[in-house]
Amino acid sequence: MAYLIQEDYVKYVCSCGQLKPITSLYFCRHCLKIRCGFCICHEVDSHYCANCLENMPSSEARLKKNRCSSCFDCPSCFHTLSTRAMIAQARPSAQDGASGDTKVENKQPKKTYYLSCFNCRWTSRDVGIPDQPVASGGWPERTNPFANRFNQLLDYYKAVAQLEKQEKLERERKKFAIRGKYITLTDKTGLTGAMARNIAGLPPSESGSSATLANFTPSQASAEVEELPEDFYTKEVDLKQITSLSQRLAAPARQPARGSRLWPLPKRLSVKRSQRCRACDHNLTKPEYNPGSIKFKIELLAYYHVPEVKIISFESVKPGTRSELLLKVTNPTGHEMRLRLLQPSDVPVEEEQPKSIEKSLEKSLTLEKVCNN
Amino acid sequence: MALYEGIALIQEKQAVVLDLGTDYTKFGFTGEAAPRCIIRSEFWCPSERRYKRVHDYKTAEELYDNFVHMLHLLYFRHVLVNPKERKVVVVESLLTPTLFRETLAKVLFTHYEVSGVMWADSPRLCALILGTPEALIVSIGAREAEVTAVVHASVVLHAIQAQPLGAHAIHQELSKLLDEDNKTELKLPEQIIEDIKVKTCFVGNRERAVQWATGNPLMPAKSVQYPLSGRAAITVSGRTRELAAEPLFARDNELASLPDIILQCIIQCPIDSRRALAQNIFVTGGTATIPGLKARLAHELRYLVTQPPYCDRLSIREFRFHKSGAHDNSAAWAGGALAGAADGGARALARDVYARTARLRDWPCLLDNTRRH
Repeated sequence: MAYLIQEDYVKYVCSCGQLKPITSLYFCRHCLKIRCGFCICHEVDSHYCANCLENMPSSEARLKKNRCSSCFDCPSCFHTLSTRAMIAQARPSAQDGASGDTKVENKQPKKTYYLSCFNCRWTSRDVGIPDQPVASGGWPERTNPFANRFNQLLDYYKAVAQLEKQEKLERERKKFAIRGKYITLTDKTGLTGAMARNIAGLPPSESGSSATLANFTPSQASAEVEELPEDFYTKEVDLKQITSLSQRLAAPARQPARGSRLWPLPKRLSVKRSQRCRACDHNLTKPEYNPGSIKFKIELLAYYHVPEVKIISFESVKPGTRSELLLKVTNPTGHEMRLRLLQPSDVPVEEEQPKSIEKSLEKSLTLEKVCNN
Repeated sequence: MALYEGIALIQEKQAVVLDLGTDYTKFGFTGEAAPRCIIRSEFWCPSERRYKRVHDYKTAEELYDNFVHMLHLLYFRHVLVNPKERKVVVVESLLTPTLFRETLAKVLFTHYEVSGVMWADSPRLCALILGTPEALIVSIGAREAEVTAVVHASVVLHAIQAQPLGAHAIHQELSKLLDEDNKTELKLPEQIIEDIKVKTCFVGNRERAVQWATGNPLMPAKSVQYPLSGRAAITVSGRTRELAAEPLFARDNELASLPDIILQCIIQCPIDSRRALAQNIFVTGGTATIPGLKARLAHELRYLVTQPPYCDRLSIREFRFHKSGAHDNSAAWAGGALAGAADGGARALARDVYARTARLRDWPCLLDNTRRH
């Protein structure tokens, strides 16, 4: 018996030893065991945007950093932003005087679009984002102020790691270099690989990494620290202009401190998950690919296989007297089912949960070894 | 098609970087300049019907469950990748409890079946961001302020200083001061206290702090009316705004204030690295973002070093500070992203190695820090 908002009274023992209501249990048809969300393997099946219900292939999702390209969230209240259209007014500007052609254009009203939040009334015009001529896409993006420095550092450390690897290889080679009876060309002529490259007119092999190593400048410390501006002590504080912590952290790359620097947040994608039994690697659930559909291709829920127990009525237990408990057991399958009520003394000792996980780990490790061999 | 599959086999999946802080968790991919998400380290616990913090645990089993839920949230709601067969870089403090990291390893390796975990300590990762050979990392987090000296990529272990001078100390002081301002016991939830801190609080300069301490009334900053939902707005006076972060600088006979522990850390370091350390101070951590904190810290250091007991033990008079190459709250994370991307996870603890020994290397453990003969 499971409820939406009340406590779950009837709980089932999962094969991993946890007690769960029947609504959160699965039944593996291949191992004939009850499984729960804790002892199965979750996998990302497909990415989609929850707002426009558009599917996105996982490679594209990776490229776009798991963000939808056409939907945006409000940076102020995190509600979904809507695109508003506006007919551009024919403005009497300096251009009119400059050429007569613009007059013809101005007669046709031009639609421009801006983003607006229906919840908190934030609009993209508040922060000075120019209106767009097309309804979706084309919104300017803000970049991470530290991205350049980070990429420099990354190049430097990649070069360092490469150098380390090379040195290690060199050491290994020296250690195990066996002087054979045949003299190699390099031994005889003293021609090393680098020189051979030089003669052949090829660029030296590790020039790129050595250049990055040489050109790298570590961060410079300075004696001056940014002081608080003097007017900080006398200025009024406008709470509406200072962003809250959640508003800052919603954009981890920029973390704007002022309200004027908020920027529309591209909507985060959601995923459909498929679930797999850890013991036999069969799918327990697999959703349909279409984001609009809430159906499953494979759906091995315990609800379809395990009898459902409901408590119809009960008496409070008093010492020395019999109490009545009325249970209703429903067989969800079309087949005959045998039921046995256990005495407390008959309850078998449960297998411990970590053991089973370790077993699965060992199993997969032996599999790996077999593959390697 | 065959070629394509071959490439897929060779290519290492992009590793993820996990920084599980006390209050905020940073999570994202290696090689990227900013984390994909910075969220509170808490998850919805359906059985207790409340948000539960990962760091609230009594037993190892509870912690195991917390990790499983938190990582599920991070992987399938925020980063949207399969945890299986993907490496993880874990950014941790050197003072992380053993139970915490061993349980995290167990969850990552057995429950999520990641292929390898690189354990990296935050001070060295912060030093990676700078690229300097010596760095004194002052990390002011949620619970503790940690001062660590990194000399040529090794931590001076015996000089580590840590004091409970983090965001929680500020919150405590702030709620006390707010009660004084409004002359009632407000009992505000932690989140609102944090919001008041983020939006209004600052650290005044040294002269002002001395004047406050001597009781000389000076011109306080403007007070703020902070609106609360469902209650009357509360007053945040200028005094409160300025003095909330004062516990970090409060000195007593134990010499345990933030500038004190920095100087003590320098004193305990080898004499030939002290000058370099003092000239490469890097203040980081989420709490370091409070306006004026870094400037005040610099002033305090320059003053304290001329006072006993430091004046006759340290001949350093010059302190220099680094501007970071990442946002303060994710500097250690960014270091993890660099380290993970640079060597392609070569330093990671592989899953089969963990399965054999089922323990982690740790610096306080005699098995790892004694020399083998």
